[in-house]
Amino acid sequence: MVKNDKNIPSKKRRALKYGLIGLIAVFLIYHSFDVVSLDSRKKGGDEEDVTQLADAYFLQSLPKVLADAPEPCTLLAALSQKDQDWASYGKQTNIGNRYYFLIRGEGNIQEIKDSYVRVAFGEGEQACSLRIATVYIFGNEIRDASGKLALADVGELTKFNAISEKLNKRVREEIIPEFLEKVQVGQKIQITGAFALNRRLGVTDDFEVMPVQLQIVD
Amino acid sequence: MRIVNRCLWMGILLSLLIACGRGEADKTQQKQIAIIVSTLNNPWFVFLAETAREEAESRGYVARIFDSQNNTSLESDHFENAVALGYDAILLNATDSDGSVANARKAIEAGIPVFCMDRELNNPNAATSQIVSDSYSGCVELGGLFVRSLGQKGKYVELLGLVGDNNTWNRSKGFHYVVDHFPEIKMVAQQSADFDRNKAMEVLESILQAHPDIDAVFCGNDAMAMGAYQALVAAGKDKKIQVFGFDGSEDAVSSIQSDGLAATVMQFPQKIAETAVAFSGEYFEGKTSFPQKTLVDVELVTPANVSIYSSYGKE
Repeated sequence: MVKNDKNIPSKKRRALKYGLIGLIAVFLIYHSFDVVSLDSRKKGGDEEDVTQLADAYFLQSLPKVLADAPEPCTLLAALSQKDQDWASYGKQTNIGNRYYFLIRGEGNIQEIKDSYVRVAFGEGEQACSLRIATVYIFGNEIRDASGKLALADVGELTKFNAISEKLNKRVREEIIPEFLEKVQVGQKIQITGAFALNRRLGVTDDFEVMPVQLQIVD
Repeated sequence: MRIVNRCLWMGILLSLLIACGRGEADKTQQKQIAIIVSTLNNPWFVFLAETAREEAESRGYVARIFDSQNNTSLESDHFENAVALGYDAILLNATDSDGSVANARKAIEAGIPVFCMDRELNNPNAATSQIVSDSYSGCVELGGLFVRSLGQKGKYVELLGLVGDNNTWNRSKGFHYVVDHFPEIKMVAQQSADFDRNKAMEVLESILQAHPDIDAVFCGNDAMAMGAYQALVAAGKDKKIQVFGFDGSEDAVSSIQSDGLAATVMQFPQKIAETAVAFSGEYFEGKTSFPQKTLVDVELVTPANVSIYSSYGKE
C-alpha cells in the first residue's frame, strides 16, 4: 500500500480531501440562499408599501387639503340645512350614506372627558361646539375625508384598511399623548381634523372629530 | 300546379326567414342573467337573489336563480350549465372565497362577465367586478360601540362564520383592530358556528359551561347572534350578557326593538344587487372596464336608532 509522508494511505487521504471539499460546498451553498416563505415576503413588502403610502398622505397630500378646510360652525350650519347637497362639502368612498368632512379652526376647551375633549368654536349665533376624540380613533375619517386617497389607487382592500390603521395609530401615539399632558379647560387650541356623518341620521350631537393636528395656543 | 308549388315553397322559405329573424331579435333584446347564490337557506341571501332578479326583470332581462346550497361542487355545475345555456352575465354570491375562483374563471374564459355580490373572491382576475359590503369598517365601528358598552373591561366570546369566507375574517379583523387595544377586555373563547343559528346556539351553550361569567358575545352574522341570544335566554342570562350581530336581518332588527340584541350592523343587499345588475347592463351596452372592487356602506343599528331602519336595509 502506498503511504504518504504522514503515513496516511492515499485512498483515505483522497476520501478526506473530497469529504472536506463537500462539506465546504454544502456550507457555502447553504449560506448562499435565504429561505423565507412567500407569505412573509409579501407581508414585508406590503407593510413597507403601506408605511410609505400613509406617510406620504399624512405629511404631503392631507396638509394641502386641510389648508383650505372650512371653519367648523360654518360647515355644521350648512350641513344642518334641509336638502343640502352634502357632496359639495364632503367626500364619499363607498356607495351609501356616509360622508367624510374636514375642518380647520380655533376654539376654547370647554370640558375634558375620558374619551374626548369638547371645544367651543365661534361666537354669538355662529357659535358651536364639537367633541374631539382622544381615545376612539379607529375609523376611516382621516384617510377618506380629503378625497386624495382611493381604493383604486392602492389596489387591495387589506392594504387600504392598513393605511387607515397606520394613520390612526400615528394620531393616537404622536398627537394625543402630548396634547393630553398639557390640555386644560379654558385653553385656546388650533385644530385640524376629520369626521364622518350618516346622511340618513343627519347632524347628530354625539359625533367625534378625529384630530390630525392639535396645537395649544396659550 | 307548378305555380302553386312555387308559391308554397316561397311561403315556407319566407316563414322560416321571419322566424329566424325574430329569434335573433329576441336574443339581442332579452339578455339572460344567471344569479348563482351560495344558499337559499338564509333569508338574507334569498332577499339578495330576489332583489337581483326583480331588478334584472325590471330592466327587461331574463333572470334565473341557482342555489349552490353552500356546496362548491354544486356551484361548479351551475356555472357549467350557465355557460352551456348561453347566459349573457352571471351574478355570483360565492360559496367560498378561494374554492369559487375556478368556477368563476370558467365563465370569464367563456366570455361571460361575472359580477360578485357580497362575497369576495380571492383572485381579482376571477371576476369582472366585485360589489361587497365594507364589512371591515362596519366592524371597526361596532368594535368601538362594543368597548364603550362594556366600559372598556370584561370577558367575551366570538362566534365566527364560515372559515372559508372572507367576510368572516374581514368582520373579525375589523372588530379585533379596535377591541384588542383595550387590555382589560379579554376574549375567553373564539369558535366557528358557520353563520348558522342552531349551531351558534349549541356552541354557546357549550362555551357557557366553561365560561359562565362572560359579559358579551360578538357574532359574525345575525343568524348566529339570534342563536346565541336563544342560548342565553334558555340559561336565564339574556339580561346580563350583551349580544352583537351583523347583517340587519328581520329578526335581529325586531330583537333590538324589544331590548334583545345590543346592536347589529346593517348591510344593504338591495344596493349590492342593484349595482350588480346595473354593471351587467353597462356591460351589455359595451362597457368593458369596471372597478375591481366597489364597496357598499354598512350602518350601525342600536336601540337608539333602530326605529329608522327596516330589515335588510330596505328603502
